[in-house]
Parts: sequence; C-alpha cells; structure tokens
Amino acid sequence: MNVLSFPLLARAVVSGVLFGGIYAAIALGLGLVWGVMRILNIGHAALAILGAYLSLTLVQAGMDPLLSLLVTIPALYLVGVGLQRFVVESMHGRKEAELHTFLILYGIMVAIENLQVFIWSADVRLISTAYSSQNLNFLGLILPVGRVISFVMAAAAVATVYLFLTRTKMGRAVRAIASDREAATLMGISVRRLSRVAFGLGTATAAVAGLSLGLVSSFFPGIQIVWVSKAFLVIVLGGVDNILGLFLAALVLGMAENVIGVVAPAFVVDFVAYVLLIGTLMVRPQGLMRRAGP
Amino acid sequence: MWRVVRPAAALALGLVVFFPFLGPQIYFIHLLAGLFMMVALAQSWNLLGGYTGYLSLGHVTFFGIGAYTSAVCLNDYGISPFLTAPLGGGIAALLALIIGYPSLRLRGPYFSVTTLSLAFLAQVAAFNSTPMGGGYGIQLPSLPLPIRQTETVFYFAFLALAVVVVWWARRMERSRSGLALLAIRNDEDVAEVCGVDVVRAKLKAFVMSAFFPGVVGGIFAYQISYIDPHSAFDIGLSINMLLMAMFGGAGRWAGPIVGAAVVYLLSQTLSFVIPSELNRVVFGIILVLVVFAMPHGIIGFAEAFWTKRAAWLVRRDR
Repeated sequence: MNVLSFPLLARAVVSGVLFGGIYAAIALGLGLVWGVMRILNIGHAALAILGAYLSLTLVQAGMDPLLSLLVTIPALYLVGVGLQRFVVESMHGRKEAELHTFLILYGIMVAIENLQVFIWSADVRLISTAYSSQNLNFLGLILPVGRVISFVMAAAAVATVYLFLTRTKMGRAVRAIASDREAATLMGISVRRLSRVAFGLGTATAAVAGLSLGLVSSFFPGIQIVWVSKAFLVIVLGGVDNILGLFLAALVLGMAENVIGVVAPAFVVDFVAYVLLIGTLMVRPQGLMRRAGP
Repeated sequence: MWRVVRPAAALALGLVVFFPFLGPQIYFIHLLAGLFMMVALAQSWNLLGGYTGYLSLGHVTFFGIGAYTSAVCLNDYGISPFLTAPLGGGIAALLALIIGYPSLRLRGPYFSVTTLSLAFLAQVAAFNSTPMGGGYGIQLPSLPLPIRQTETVFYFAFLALAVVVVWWARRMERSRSGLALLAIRNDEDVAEVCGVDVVRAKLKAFVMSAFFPGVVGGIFAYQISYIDPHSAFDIGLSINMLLMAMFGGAGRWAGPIVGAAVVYLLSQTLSFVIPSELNRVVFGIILVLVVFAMPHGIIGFAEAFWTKRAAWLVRRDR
C-alpha cells in the first residue's frame, strides 16, 4: 500500500472518470426509455454489446471505429423502433402489460446474448486501432488515446440527448410524454410516434455506448448482464429524469471503482457496486438525487 | 377436465415410482432425476413469482447457498447432505427473510433487478471465499454405492422433493394465504386496503420459495460431486426456473410440472441436435412467443380451451 503516491492516485481518478463515461453512455439510453415509457429494457446492454460487435466487425473489415457509428447508430435506432412498435405497443391494453413487456424484453435479451455467442463466439474481444494504444500526455498524466476517445464519444452522446430534450420542440414533446402521457395526448402530441422515436433514440445511444465500451474494456456476450446492472445502479443513483445527474453519478461511480481497485483487491470493486445497488434500492428506490414520492 | 387429468396424474406418478426397478438404462434414471429437480425448482419459483407476480431473476442464489452448505458440511464435518440439505434450505430461507423485508416493497423491475444483483453478489462472494474453495470449487466424495444404486437414490430424493413442493403449492393455492397472494397479484393497493397483510403474505411466499431451492441445491451438490461458483450460481438456472413456470402456467400448481417437462425434455433433445448457445436462443424466443400467445401458459391455454368446449357442448345440447 506504500506505493500509493499522489501521481498514481491522480491517474486512477482521471482514468476512472474516463471509464465512467461508458457507464453514462449505457445508462443514458436505459434511463431515456425508462423515463419516457416506464419500461426497464433489461436487454439494453445486450444491444450495446451488439453495437460493439458490429463495430468490431466493421473495424476488422478496415473501417475506422468512428465511421462504423454511421452504420451501427441507424441499425440500433431501427431495433428500438421495432421493439416499441411490435413489443410494447402490442402489450397495451393487457392487464399485466408491464410484467409481460418486461418478460418479453428479458427473452429478447437471452436470445440476443446467445446469438452473439453463436456468431462471434464467447471469446474476449477488444476493438483496437493503430492509434488507440498510443498515449497522450495531459498535464503530466499519461492517458491512453483510446480511453480519451471513448470518453469524448460518451460525453458527446450525453450532450446530444440533453440538447435534444431541452432545446428542440420534439425533445420537449418527449419530456411532456414522460411527465404525463394523457395530458401530452390532449396537447396534440402524437404520443405513439414520439414513443417510437424515444425508444429508437434510447437504443441508438447503445451503439455509441458499445463502441465506447469496446475501445476500452474487453467484452464478450455474457458480460452484458454486468453492464446492465451497473447502468441500473447509475440510474438509481442519478435519477431517471435528470440526465446531468445521471452523467455525474456515472463519473463518480467510475472514479470510485477505479480508486477502490487501486487500494483494494479487485473483487472488492464488484462487491461495493452490488452492495451499493441493493442497498440504494432498498433504502431509497426513488433514487438518491430525487425527492421522495412516486 | 379433471375427470381426465386426475387419473392420468395418478397413473403417471405410479409409473414414475416403479420406473427405476424396470431396469432402464442409467441415462434415463439420470434424465428423469434432472426433470424432478427442475419441477421442484420451477415450482419453488412459482410460489413467489407465479402467485404474486414478483419476478425473481436471482433464485439461483438460494440454490447455490444450499449447494455450498451441504458441500462444506460434508467435507469439513462429514455429515451427509441428505441430513444437511434442510439446513441449506433454512439458511436460504433466512437470507430471503432478511433480503425480502426491504426488497419486497419494491415493485416490478426494481425487485427483479435487486434479486439479479443478489445472485451476482453471491457469486462474487463464493469466488473470493477461501473456506468455500474460491474459484477452484469444492470436490465432494460420491455415495459409496454402485452407479445404478447411486442414481436411483438421487432419483427418489428429487422425486420426493418435487412431490413435496408441488403438494405445498397446491395446498397454498387453495388456502387463505393463496387467496391473499392472488389479491396482491391483481392489485396490491386494493388488497392492502381490503385488509390483506400484504407484507406478511409476500414474505411468507418468498421464504418458502427460497427454502425449497436451498434443499434442492444441497442434494444437487452431492449428486454432481463437484461445485464451483459458476455452476452453483448459474444465472441460466434462474432463467430456466422462470421460463418453465411461465411456459406451463405461472400461478397454477400444475403449471411448473407441465412447463418443466416440456422445456427440460425439449432442451435435452435439442442439445443433441444444435449447439448449446443456439439452444439458449431458442429458449429466449420461446419465452417471447409464450408471453405473446399464451400469457397464462399451457395450463391457462388448456383451461380456456376446455371452458370454450364446455360452453359449446351446452349450446349444442340445448
């Protein structure tokens, strides 16, 4: 423990914050869908990993990772629209709609995960390019370029969604749906169309999250369940209807995990995360940054 | 409907009791023992998930606790798992009591994610606990009997467990507490207003639903003679419990029996034909289709069919 010098700690903090960007990117889409539709898309991280695999395949075919987003973002947008159109909408009117939607999304998650095993095998992968392993010197801290790119992408996704929701007319309509569906309908908002857009946007961010994950952290199909529970933790900590709070919570979680990982054995990190999740859910299910109430 | 079902069930049970003495291949004894284990597990899941609608995605935690309890008791103290299996169930039930009190206040997906995290937590704990063998797992001595007798012993152990859990579910379904759970499933707030002690009813269901997998896990560890964090806390088993109960008909005592039989025998057959990961894909798709087409499972579907047929017969005779 005597090796814990200041530069080491500073490095752990900075690279933890950069890693937290991935949490933010995954939690972003999960939170958007949860906030607007009141649906927990448990397969969200499986879609992010799908995005990572698609990017990986395109990169192996000689494409730059950033360009691969031009393919993966529209692809996952369509997946989201399809989920809303064919799953969520067809459950409307059922007595136990919420339960059934959740079960279907769970089944889809299982199918997607194992389809990935079938197509890409269960081997551990990483998206690597010529420049991602180079280092960047930032105020005396040596940072890998891949991590910085990953963080910038995640932050850009968060900023885009934030600006969409707060600065555009459509985004405002989506927020209106989130706060009151019926009132939104009465105001002349096409709830059905915008719900599809919101679900599509939510899964489209999974494409960015997947690439941002794949550049930094090794992945395989089964890891998705870990990412989705971490993303859920971020939402619980940051609050669903508060994107900036969510971003902050993600960065704090990334930083805390990384710092704990430096001073304690690796398993303590996972332990802390799950205990935190279970504990928060039990004590404050409405989230730490939200007022009490429904 | 019951005029057909009841004698058929009695006949099936009779056949099953005599089956090992008819000299079948050992493989079939093993196969059916696995089926009985799945019936017991799916029915245990049903006790909470089926009757109350609180979907647990982490029921394998209780199974794993039972498996580790009997492994540690056998290796360190030399007590047979057949004696310590109820202890494993008791520890699992105690955990459910501790976890259940705060977490059953959470509704819908919140409860599911909590139980899912609980399974991860248990797995991480098992990986890093030295007395539990860490990542290396625990090797158990097997029964000092020839292989056919050994398999037969486990066959009857799992059969007995399955019968007990099914009996328990059936008894509960027709009791006051079963009605309370049904009310909770339909509308928890209304149930509470009507004077149902919802916290108590849910806790009771959760504790029993955790106790049985603990016992099953304790026997299972002895049967396969080797456990590690991956096999004892396998998330896939959680999926299977849910899938079997839903497929057969959640919230009905007969549902998990039918569901386990269909899903388990299908998966055993499929595993000869297609690679195991595709097997899982098929099950994911089956779950989706079941919820779409028969949200009340095979039993619910059959009941609806029977009701329609009866109505048609009445109309015809009039």
